[in-house]
Amino acid sequence: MRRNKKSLFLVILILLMPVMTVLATGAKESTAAGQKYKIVIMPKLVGVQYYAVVKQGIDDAVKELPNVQVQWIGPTTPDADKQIDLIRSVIPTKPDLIAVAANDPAALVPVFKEAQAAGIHVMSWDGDINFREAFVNLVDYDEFGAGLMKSMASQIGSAGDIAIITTTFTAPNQVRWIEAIKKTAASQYPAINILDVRPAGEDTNKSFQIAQDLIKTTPTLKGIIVLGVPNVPGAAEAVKEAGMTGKIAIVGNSTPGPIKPYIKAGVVRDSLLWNAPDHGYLTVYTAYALLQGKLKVGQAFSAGRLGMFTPKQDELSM
Amino acid sequence: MKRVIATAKKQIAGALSNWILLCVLIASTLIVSLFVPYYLAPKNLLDATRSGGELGLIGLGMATVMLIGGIDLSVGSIFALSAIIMGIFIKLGVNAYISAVLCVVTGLLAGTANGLIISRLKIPPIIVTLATMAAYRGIAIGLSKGVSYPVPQSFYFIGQGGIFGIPTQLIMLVGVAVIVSTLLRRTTFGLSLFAIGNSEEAARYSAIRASLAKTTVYAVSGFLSAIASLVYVARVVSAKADFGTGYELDAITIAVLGGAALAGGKANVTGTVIAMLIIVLLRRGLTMGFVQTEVQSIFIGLILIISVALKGSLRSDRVARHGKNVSA
Repeated sequence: MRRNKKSLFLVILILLMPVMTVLATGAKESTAAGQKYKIVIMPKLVGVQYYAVVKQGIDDAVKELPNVQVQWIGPTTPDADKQIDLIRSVIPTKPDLIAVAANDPAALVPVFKEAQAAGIHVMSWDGDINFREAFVNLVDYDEFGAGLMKSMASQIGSAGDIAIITTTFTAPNQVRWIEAIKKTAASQYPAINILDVRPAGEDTNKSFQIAQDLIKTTPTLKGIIVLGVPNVPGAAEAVKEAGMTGKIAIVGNSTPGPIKPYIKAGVVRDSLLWNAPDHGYLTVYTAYALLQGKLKVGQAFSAGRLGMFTPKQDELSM
Repeated sequence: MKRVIATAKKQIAGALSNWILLCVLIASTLIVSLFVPYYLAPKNLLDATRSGGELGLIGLGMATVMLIGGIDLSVGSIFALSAIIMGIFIKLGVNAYISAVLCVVTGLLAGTANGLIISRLKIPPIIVTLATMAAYRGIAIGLSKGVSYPVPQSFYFIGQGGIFGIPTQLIMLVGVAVIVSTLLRRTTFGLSLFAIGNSEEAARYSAIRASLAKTTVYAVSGFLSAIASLVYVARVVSAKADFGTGYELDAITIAVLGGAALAGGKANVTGTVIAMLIIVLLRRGLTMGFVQTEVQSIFIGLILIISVALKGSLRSDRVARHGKNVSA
């Protein structure tokens, strides 16, 4: 009995060692000399390649700005409620600014108000929030949506049935893009019917299943517009597997890596994107400008290697 | 005389198990506070327990179900379905309080359905609740089509308010825990559950209506899941069909950690609540330390293993053949 207890305590001690070391490296000490701005940047979710790429841009910016420290944290699924919990946990760590890519523009408003009441600057990027001091947009919503629609029309002709796969119905950029796609279709390609809009989260597999489903149930399907970087290769794979390469067009926003094999195989012709790492880079510089009080409508500020940016009506795009 | 000592030993072992959990809670909190500034502030710790409100409630329901040797995998889906029903009615303009009642009714009905299928059709609970987990979630998604429902300000008090600085959720949880504990330990019904959990056949021979008890227990689980969803919706001020995914596993975790046995016959309300606190406070500390969310699960897992190992070493000299334990 006594031997059991001794070995048990040893086991516990051994287990605790790595726990303590990882805890120590996880919590970055902010007691460096000099005034350091602590910025928390939160993506829509972590664990996807897209935001890993954005993080690279953020890291680049941090290297160039010695008195800025960035903490990166996000939920494992693109849920606004998980983001709310995370933000609430971050507030007591007293950062100077929190920049969030929101999964829902309305749901995060109360927690953002809480943050501001605690003396923290609040900003959004990628996905906007209805209450924030500044927003770093990806690319003009209407332009992007129109671009996607035009690419689709150039492939399937000016008439036919298409469907749209989106990430979530609450993400503001999705809402605006879908609006722009529908507007462009209605005004320039009235003979193109958008049959359905389905959400796939940011999940390649789910997008694959939805695309498969669409292909099976809609024999007249001519194309799918796929929104969401992990979703595009999923839908492309479904088209390829169904042997519909060339008969069903896939247009979407995807990073070069996952989409390259499908472009080579002729499944996808166009993939539209913006520069993801630059977006992260710009977000850091915008936050820095905000903290220094240099962020004002109509007043240009320096964003390192990206040049000068001028915010318009508390929003700026790349 | 021997039996008296044996019973006393069991009681002490049950209480000791809670003390061990308390020690793990205090130890992990102190260790985390060494690395994370601002963590140990009472306001912060209390605020952290807000996210434990719904977990604790579902966990209590799960502990009750596990007491009779059953399991309820559909709690997460009932959670979501109740939230969606409430969201839909609020959108239709129905009064917020009535919608909240409807939310709870949904949970009650869903849980009762579980209970009836399990007790009448005699299908194993794991299969039934696995099926209803998919079914209820499917209904929630189908009804809402992925849309998020906004929730009015009147809910804020439950989610973000507090009395004398203690979060509303914590007070609610403690209240429910006391009720459940009393129900289990001091009512005939509660004791009959221990009997059923230990040996259903023996319980039947003692004129205990096992079918009715089973149905009731699953109804209670559904009911608590719905209350949990009320609390959650109030905190995140929205209702969406994908809420609560994976909550059944979290609930089983804290129920087992608290002292429930998968085979049934054991239940420990205090333990379940302390287990919830361990997990919730640890998560808060890790987030404040900016440990990546994917990595956080590793820590939670480690703490679970340590806790179970500690409790196991305590029982190593308790004779297993005395059967299961009664403590709450």
